[in-house]
Amino acid sequence: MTLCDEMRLLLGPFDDGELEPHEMEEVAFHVVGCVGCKSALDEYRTLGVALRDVVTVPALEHFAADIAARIDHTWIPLRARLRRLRDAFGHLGSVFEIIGVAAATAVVTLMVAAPYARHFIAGSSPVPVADHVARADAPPIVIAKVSLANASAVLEKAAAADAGPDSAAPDEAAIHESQELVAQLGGGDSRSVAVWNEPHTGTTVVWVPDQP
Amino acid sequence: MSKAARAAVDETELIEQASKGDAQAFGVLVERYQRRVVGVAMAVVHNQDDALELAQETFIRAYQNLPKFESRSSFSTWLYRIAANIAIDFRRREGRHPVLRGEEGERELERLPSDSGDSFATTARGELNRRLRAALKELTPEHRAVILLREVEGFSYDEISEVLQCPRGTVMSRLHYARNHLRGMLKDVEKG
Repeated sequence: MTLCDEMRLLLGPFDDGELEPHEMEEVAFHVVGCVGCKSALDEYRTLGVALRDVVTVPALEHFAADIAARIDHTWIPLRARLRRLRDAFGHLGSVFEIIGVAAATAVVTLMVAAPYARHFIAGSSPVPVADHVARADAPPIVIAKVSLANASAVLEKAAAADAGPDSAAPDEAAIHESQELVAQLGGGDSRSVAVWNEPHTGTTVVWVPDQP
Repeated sequence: MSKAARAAVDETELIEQASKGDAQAFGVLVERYQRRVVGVAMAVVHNQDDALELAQETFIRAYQNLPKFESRSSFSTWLYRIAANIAIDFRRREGRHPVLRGEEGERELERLPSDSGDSFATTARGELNRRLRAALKELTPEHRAVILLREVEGFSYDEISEVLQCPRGTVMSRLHYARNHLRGMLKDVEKG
């Protein structure tokens, strides 16, 4: 690569003033003494003028007004709107924001905790399995982990009991069978069986771990 | 306080007001930057009507997102980058290099300088402009965007690099290629 080739790579940035000072100096010295590079530099400049002549920006008389009209109907993201609302209140905006967040948190906490609190205040507590089964009015408990032979019979009886007040009432046989199953699993005091009430759905849940 | 510093303070206030929803303050910003935003869009899509539409879209998006603007870059650079991104997306979506179609092409031809003044200079200038337009169309959108941002909009290499999100070295090499291509065309016109 000749010196002129190297310099021509720098002519554009030189004309744009984008070279380091020492490079600017180097190119300037070269251009003064080199007719070919001087001519190339002139052509770059002519090109710049011609491009500015060719590329015309359209008239913008109504541009700002058109945007103002569109802004009136523009959807603003909720976050931006909230921020604008907060800023509109000045210093009070931050106070309102904190109060708002606290109130929202309180409402959510109340919604989640209220059913549990109601049960807690009413004195309801987890029922030992044996006690629950022994209660005459308790619905029959379906225990999923039973032998396959027992399972279908127990499920059928439970389904019949769930069908409604018109269908068969919880029969003694189902309750007896449940009692037997619970006894097999270790009784109401066993840590391997847990029973609790789900306040949201009003159902009784029996948790039975895998049995050997 | 210098004039530039006063303008910067003024602009910060305008941005703050506009981000609170003050449409009038935003209108001042629009008037201040509309010319260059349209220029950026023009550099990428190379079509006046599309560029105007994209520039409007740029300002609408900027207005929506002003609360997110964090002064890490200057407002103008942020705005030009939005314009470039919208224009690049548009070009990809259209799946074409800008071409003149139907009425649009005719209108573009009408915009050419008239050579009815029958002076040799006017005719030569008209011919030069026509050829230059044709040569610009031969460039890839990336090369055309770089040379138009530099020569027409007067962006620095760093600004081009930031707006088009490519390294400064890439800006320099694209510029060199585009200039040489267009210079070759100019030489042909002179010889002709």
